[in-house]
Amino acid sequence: MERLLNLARGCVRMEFTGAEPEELINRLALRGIPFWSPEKDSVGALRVTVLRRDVGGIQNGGFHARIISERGLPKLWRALAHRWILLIGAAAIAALMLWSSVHIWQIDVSGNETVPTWRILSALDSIGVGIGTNWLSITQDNVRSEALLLLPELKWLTVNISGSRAEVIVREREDIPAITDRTEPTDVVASVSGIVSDMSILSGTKLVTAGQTVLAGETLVSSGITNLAGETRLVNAQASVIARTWHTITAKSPLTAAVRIQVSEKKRRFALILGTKRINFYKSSGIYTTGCDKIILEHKVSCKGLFSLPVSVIEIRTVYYDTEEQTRDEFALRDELITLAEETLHYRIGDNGEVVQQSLSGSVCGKALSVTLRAEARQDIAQSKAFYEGVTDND
Amino acid sequence: MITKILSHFDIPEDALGTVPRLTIIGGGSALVENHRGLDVLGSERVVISSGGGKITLLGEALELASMTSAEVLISGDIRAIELG
Repeated sequence: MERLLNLARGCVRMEFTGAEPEELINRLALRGIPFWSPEKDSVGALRVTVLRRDVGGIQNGGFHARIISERGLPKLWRALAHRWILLIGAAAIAALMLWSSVHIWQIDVSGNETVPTWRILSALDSIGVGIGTNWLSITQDNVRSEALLLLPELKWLTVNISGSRAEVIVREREDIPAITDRTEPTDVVASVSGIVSDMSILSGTKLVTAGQTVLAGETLVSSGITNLAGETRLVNAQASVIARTWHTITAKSPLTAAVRIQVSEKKRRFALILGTKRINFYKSSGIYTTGCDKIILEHKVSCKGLFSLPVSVIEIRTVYYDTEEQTRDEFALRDELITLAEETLHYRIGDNGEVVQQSLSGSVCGKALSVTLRAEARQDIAQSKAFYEGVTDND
Repeated sequence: MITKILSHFDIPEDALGTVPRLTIIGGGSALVENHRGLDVLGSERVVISSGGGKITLLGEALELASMTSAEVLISGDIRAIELG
């Protein structure tokens, strides 16, 4: 601590000559001049370090002394005093940092899953919270209230300010599960063609029997129920209809693919972002073309965790490459197509469906590989269809 | 005479500032109060004047740590002290 204080006050290394070193030390002590690190050399000179404020007293006190070196804050200040442009620059940067620290230059949104980030940012911008906004003028409650009005999908929102960074945390409303209206008249139709093997009717009138072939869209269970008096009333038909179904799925892919073979050219372009203004240091616009990779890097002027200035250097690297048609590994490609076909089959028969048997065949047709999956499955083909769907009211 | 008076009132002799007071701290530093100046300053021998004679500190790597008109602090490996 004392060392730091001495550096702040300024220290001078002095060399004394003309008397015995011990005599010089005694005289310094007698005059109450603090000193440290005394060092005698072979010719009898004494070097000590003293505070800069005592140099005048030493030089006027009859000592034969000369200054060897100096260090500390006063020296630094004298050095800077002649470099006024540097001082102005430092003051300007300090002022810019101060001004920047009360403005928002980065907005991060988290917690959103279905509501896109751009919608949240747009809503915030419309209520006055955006890049360049003075966060001192933001009231948390007002922002929350207004933003939730604009974004009804959200149930909660908060804006945490940390330096020049605003962290927007949102919570989305949970969707209320669709409620089936059991009073609405519905038929049960076949979702795919097949042979009915088992039926379980909860309500409605059965129109087909086990062993019967049905076509996709054919009504399996009717919503109309006739009572003993011959009156018909409409109900919400519900049933589980298990049927044997057959599927043919074909997956195709070219045997050749364009492969990148060499990098032909690299180009670097730069742009500067000051707040919300962008200055491009290139003439042509950034049109995306094939045959190149465009990598955009943003270098923010910031001190991580402390502050960030509204200045970013954008570096755009464009790497052009040539491609060549190369033949793909047929076995690997076939495995990919089989996997794709099986995934499609499982999507069609649903989670409760069951593959009874399946066969695969493959062929090369021209420059394409084709894989065909033929499968027999057992699946629930019942699908609800509103009774009035497609009915036109002529009244 | 003065010594007798001080002794009568239970006042230590060094309170007047005429006799030295030597404090050794673990053999690594020595504080001499009420000194009258430094006679010899060497890395193996330091001689300090005082009202009661000379105090010689012998040792190795002796250094003058600090000094004011009232006290001298010597640091280093102090092996022996001679009074005389």
